[in-house]
Amino acid sequence: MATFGQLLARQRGKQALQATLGRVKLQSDVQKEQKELEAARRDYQAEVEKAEREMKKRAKKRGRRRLASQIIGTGVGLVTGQPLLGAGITGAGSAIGAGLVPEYETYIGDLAPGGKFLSEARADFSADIASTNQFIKDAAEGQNLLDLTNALQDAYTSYTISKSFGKDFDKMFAKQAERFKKDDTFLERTLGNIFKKGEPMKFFEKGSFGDYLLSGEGGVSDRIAARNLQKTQGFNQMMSLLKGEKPEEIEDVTIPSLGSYSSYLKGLGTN
Amino acid sequence: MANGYSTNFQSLTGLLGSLGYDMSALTSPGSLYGFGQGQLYGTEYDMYFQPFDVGGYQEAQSSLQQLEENLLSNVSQQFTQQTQDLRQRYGGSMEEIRGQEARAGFVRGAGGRQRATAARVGMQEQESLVRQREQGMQSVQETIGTRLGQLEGTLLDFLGSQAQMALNIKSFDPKEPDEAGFIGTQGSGIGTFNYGDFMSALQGANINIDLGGYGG
Repeated sequence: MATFGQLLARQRGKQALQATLGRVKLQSDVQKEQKELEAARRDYQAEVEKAEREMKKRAKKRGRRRLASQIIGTGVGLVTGQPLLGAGITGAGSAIGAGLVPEYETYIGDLAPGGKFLSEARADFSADIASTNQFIKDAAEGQNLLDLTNALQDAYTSYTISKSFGKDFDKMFAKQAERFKKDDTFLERTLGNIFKKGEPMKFFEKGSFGDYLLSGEGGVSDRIAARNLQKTQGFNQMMSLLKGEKPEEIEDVTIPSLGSYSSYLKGLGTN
Repeated sequence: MANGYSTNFQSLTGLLGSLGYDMSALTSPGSLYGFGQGQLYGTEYDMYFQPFDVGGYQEAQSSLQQLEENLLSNVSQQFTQQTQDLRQRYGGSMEEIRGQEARAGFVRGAGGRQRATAARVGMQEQESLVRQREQGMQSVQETIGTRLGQLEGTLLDFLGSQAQMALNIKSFDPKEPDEAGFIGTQGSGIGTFNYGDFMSALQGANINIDLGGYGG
């Protein structure tokens, strides 16, 4: 039979061993959970970066479509002399183009592994994920409104450009048209080689679309003439006064704009 | 052995009661700190609390009781033996005095003085034996008391180590079983995630998020 000393030592040893094993298990469990949480944090970071990349990519796509709408709309506004038409095309193009890019709505799932410890750290982590998801949700919800306000802004910019540079554009267009009419330009020759079996294309030959833009009713030439008339009326009146003649009455000159495309087609029919 | 020197061996229940605990402090020590069935942190942390070895303690206590009985019995037997020896020696001395009286014709006074001397010496030796017995008994009591203190100390060490363990667990921020927002399963990742469940879990955790048009 064991002596008291043996039994006492056994009791003490057993207790010490249990305490040590308990501490070791506790610490290793906590460490394991800590590592899992860190790994989950890394995954979360990667997911956030992925979401950011995807959102940027879509924003770029929207931006490209808006730019294209602005170029087309402003171009139409300039060549037709109708800034409102250009603004409308820009606005509609921008809103539709950007709106067709779907919103980013992929939420980050709960990446936190299960565990018994570090509850505050887990709660923080879950809150971070929730906050990111909330951001994604808000961004998706706000995207439509943003697209519309951007479209309005684009339309306004297009209108302003058409209004501000319409006069200069008409002059430049007329000048370039003269050049194109005179010689076969490099562009005409190249396009002719591609599309017309080596015969140069004629952008401004009679009856062409270029000619319609230049000399059609309310086209570039008409607008330039109207502006010249507007400018010279005051001068002529002053000269008449100096010469002692009766000055001509000043007409109310309206700058014309290009007629409808159907008039162009009608023109084609008569030619 | 029913004598004034026997140690009072308290039962575990009595000892725990005097410390303000009950037996559950030994069988389910985590319950003292909120770790246990129906308690704040539940049974998930039971593995970190080991029960006290009640059987081992009781075996050691019985062994100590037995040891005490043996030691006290030894002292008692030794005393009995020495007392008997003394009586024999005293009886022998008296016989010798009486023989001398008969042979030499001692006058009454001389024999009486010799008997008185023998009785005084006998009394002194008897007193010495009683003192030795008491010292022996006290020594046994001291020894057993010390060892019982060591044994009971294991109980106190146990209670202390469990308190330390509870403190360690709490310092690692344990989750409470009904803690909402604490997701216990591996996440399913992007794409197959139930946003509604997730948001309701978060709302339970008092994280204020507007559900808006989402959710289940």
